[in-house]
Amino acid sequence: MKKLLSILCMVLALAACGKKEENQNNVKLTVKIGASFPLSGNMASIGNAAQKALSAAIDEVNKNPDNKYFYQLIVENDQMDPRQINSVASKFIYQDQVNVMFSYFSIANRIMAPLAAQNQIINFSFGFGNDGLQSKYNFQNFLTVEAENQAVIKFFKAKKIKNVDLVYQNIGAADEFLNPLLVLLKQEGIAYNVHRFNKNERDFSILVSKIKNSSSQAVLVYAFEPEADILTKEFRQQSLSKIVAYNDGLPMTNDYDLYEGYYNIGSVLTPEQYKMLWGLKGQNAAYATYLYDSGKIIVDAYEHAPTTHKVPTADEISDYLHAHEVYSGVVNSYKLDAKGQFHSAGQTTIIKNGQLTVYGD
Amino acid sequence: MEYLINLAILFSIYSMLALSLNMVIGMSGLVSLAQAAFYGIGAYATAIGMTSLGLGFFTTILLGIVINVAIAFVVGKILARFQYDYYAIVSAGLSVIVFSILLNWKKVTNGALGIYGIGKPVVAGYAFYSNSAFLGLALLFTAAIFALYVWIDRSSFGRVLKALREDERLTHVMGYKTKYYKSVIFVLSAALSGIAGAFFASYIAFIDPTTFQLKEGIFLFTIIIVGGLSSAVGSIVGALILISLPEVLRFVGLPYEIAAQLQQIIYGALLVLMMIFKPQGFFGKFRM
Repeated sequence: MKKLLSILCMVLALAACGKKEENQNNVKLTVKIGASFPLSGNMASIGNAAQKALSAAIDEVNKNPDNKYFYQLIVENDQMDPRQINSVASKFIYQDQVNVMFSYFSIANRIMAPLAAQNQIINFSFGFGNDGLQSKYNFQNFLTVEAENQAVIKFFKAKKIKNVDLVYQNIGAADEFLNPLLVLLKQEGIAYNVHRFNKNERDFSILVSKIKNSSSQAVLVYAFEPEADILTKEFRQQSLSKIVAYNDGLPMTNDYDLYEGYYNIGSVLTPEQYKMLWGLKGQNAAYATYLYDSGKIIVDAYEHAPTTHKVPTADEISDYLHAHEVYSGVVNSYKLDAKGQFHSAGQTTIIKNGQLTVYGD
Repeated sequence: MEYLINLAILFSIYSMLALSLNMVIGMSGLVSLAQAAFYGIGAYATAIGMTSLGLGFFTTILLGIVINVAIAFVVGKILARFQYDYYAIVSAGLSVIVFSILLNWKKVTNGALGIYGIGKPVVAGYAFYSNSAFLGLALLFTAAIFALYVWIDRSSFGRVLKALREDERLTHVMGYKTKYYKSVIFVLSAALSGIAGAFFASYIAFIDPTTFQLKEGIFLFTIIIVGGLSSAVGSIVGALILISLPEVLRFVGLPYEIAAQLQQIIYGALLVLMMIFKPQGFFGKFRM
């Protein structure tokens, strides 16, 4: 028992030593922004890039002496695990008493969105599947499934593809895309074969062999790291000569040689983004830049929303955001709909001569 | 305070799981890694029952128990033929199978997308919407499972389980049907895990298959090793430590660029230290 107490004391002492980032400017009031990302585990590369992007946006904003408020970013690791996400959300809401929450991926959003609505806190999400979770306080900024799938169809038409192999990881986000995409493919008269694989699969030799011998002209992949890399290595090893495209796969890689000549369809990577990758190359920069823009959007709302309080309330921020509808960021221009969804167009890129380049029609 | 209540609810749910697992591993010496599977089945029974079938929370608990008992009865019969590491491997297999079913039986489980919008318990018109009320209910069930554990531990049935744990062959020679005892405790443990699953689904209001993977079974295994095998108090202490430790580490003022990674390292290092200084766990009565 003494040892138990000594270990607990040690941990508590460690915690007591801690000092979170404080408002460096005593004059300004603080707006607290809680961001929940997967910073360890399978999705860590995406989460870490997102964290860097949001931090970059907030750091830039805090350098402006004319701002009314100081923006304090509180980042927590949710490991993309529902139990952890719930704990992080509780900490943000009850302990840190944040003004805004950022939740990543649909899993986090499905837990945090109802809590945000219940506690009247602005929640920015980057996942899909917002149906049934809409509230005045929930906003979603990423390509919609429709926009991303339309970009896929546009690409297939441009390449005159009539038969495609779809290789989709067996995860929720992939399902969100796949089912509507199949409907669109049928409508466009494009034949397809669907191949699914689970997280942690490492041997794709049989799958690639099947694809190689199929009558398809192209392969569309939806996969995260490291499975995407392993699958792509297998494409190279078996000298697959078909058109290979990824649904938001390429911005995740740091191995541009491996993906040379392959396409990415989905999230936008504009020339402006090249200027501001903050060393994010190889860390899923495209997703992260949506976070950057969202950070700027929410700060803009706090700085300019009409308020009768010291700090604008969530209702006032929501009203301000909805009153404007059109936003332009470094990623894209966005149109906000009544449900809190920011709409923007998808885009295709290609890795050409070791560079991720915008691919025209 | 609300944040602490949230942690207390999770602690309560994991205490239920730890107690049920300790019945199998600690009390009976059967290294089961199937607990996450039964936990998941209980959670999905509640999620599907409440969102698709319109059933009440307590009805879905019963549904989860019935499904778990049926599965555990069949699997328990198979598992009863094994001992030690073989038992662990076969039970881990069940965990993998259940995860695959939850992930791929999309019409029923909604696959990787999971199920959200799961409701809260309602008793005689009173809905347990507030976290404090939910905590009260969860603690009530935890206390009941704790009492059941202590009662079994002190009963003749429990003594046979402990004898089986120490020497299965000798217990068999003494005239006890060891396979029967192994099956019964496995089924009971599965039923109790289902209750924890129901509480988890209702509290978080969203579940997906990733929560109920083999790694969750290993996490539960860690809880009872740290708390102490064959100890009801140990199960509770183990759950308290393993649930609260990561949360305490959130308040350690580490630079946020590396905080997540350092927290994991500190968490792991503390577990290693605990095992070095307390290899039997804090209240362990049995060492594997």
